[in-house]
Amino acid sequence: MTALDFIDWFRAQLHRAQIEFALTSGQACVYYGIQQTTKDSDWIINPKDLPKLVGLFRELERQRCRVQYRSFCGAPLDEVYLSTGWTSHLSLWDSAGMEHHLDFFGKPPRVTRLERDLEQPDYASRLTVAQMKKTDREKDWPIVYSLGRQAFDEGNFQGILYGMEVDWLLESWPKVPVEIRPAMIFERPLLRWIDEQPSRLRRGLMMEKYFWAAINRGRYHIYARVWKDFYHQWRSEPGFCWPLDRAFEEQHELIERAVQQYQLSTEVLDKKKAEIVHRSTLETMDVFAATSAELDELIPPLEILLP
Amino acid sequence: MTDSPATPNEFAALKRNEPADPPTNPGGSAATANGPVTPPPNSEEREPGDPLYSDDYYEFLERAFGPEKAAWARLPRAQRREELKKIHEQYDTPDDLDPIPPELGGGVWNP
Repeated sequence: MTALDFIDWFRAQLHRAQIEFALTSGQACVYYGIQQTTKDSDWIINPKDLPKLVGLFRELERQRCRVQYRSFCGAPLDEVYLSTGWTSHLSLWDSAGMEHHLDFFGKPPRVTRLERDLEQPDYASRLTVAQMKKTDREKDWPIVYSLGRQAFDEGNFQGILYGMEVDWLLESWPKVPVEIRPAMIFERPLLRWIDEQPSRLRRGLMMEKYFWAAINRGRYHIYARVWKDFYHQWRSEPGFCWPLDRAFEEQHELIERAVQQYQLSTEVLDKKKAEIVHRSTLETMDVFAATSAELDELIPPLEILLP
Repeated sequence: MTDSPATPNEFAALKRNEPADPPTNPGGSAATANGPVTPPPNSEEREPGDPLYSDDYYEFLERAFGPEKAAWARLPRAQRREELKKIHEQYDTPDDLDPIPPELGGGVWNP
């Protein structure tokens, strides 16, 4: 089964199992005509439907598929974990033996509202995907901008939130209805500079991107650290083996038992958000020789940065 | 993958193994370095939700991703999918997971 056929097949499986989902990230960018290929598929799942997903994998194993948790830093397919920002990472070998990587989100990073594509609701909307792509990987930023431009061209003014070129912002901002501009500026304070300080826009865009990347790194490192602490305890068990080459149910029970026993935290970000923003601010000030007042003008509110 | 947590070593390994974008313009592909072989279709032929965007948008794609990918992006969704299948079949490994690239004997047609 080719990668593209697999996506269609797995979507059909999720529908059949009545699991609420949205395909996002790279495969969504393939659908939107921005990326040609991607190594894996990323799925947003309603955390309440995760027991159904575990059941689906059990069923697929009876149909000559093989499913395995990857060793990658991931939590079990459990509502408690995925609804608090953890992700789960699995490999699925189809009945022809072809391996596919699947990553599951319950609460995708930076996404305050999950929106779906109007024409094909199996896919996260362009703007939801764009929000997830505000990472510390340089290659993601042209994708953020492309998604924003597509949305804007189709009449969704929120696309302006993802504009990454000065000329396009200057040309597009006047088309945004005046009555919705304050809401746009709330989410992206940089937009205020279009009218007030256009000569500073280029610098502002660079600082803003750097800041989002720093936020992403900060968020990621905290999850990675918590996972590492958990994993070190777990692997000291006699007979430790992970990933486990057994039936999916057995793998799932094992990691569920481990996260309980070694108390993998479900409150990873709760008390760290302000610290992440503070560190990201200092780092951005340092790199751009910016003042805190300048950053204050640019930084979106905490509920946008780390919802 | 987007930005999910990994241990530093795993992350570094992933970075190292991250394949480059697949070679573009495999045999029969829609585009060449000189532009698209398949002419961009009329907007009437396109599905809802898959419009032809402004030239300015595709010029940006060309600057960001290169002329071949920009030409591919102009195609209607169904044609994009067909082109992508050719790319995956002829040049790409099974969903990029094969550690050996097809040019070196791995991939779909060199199992």
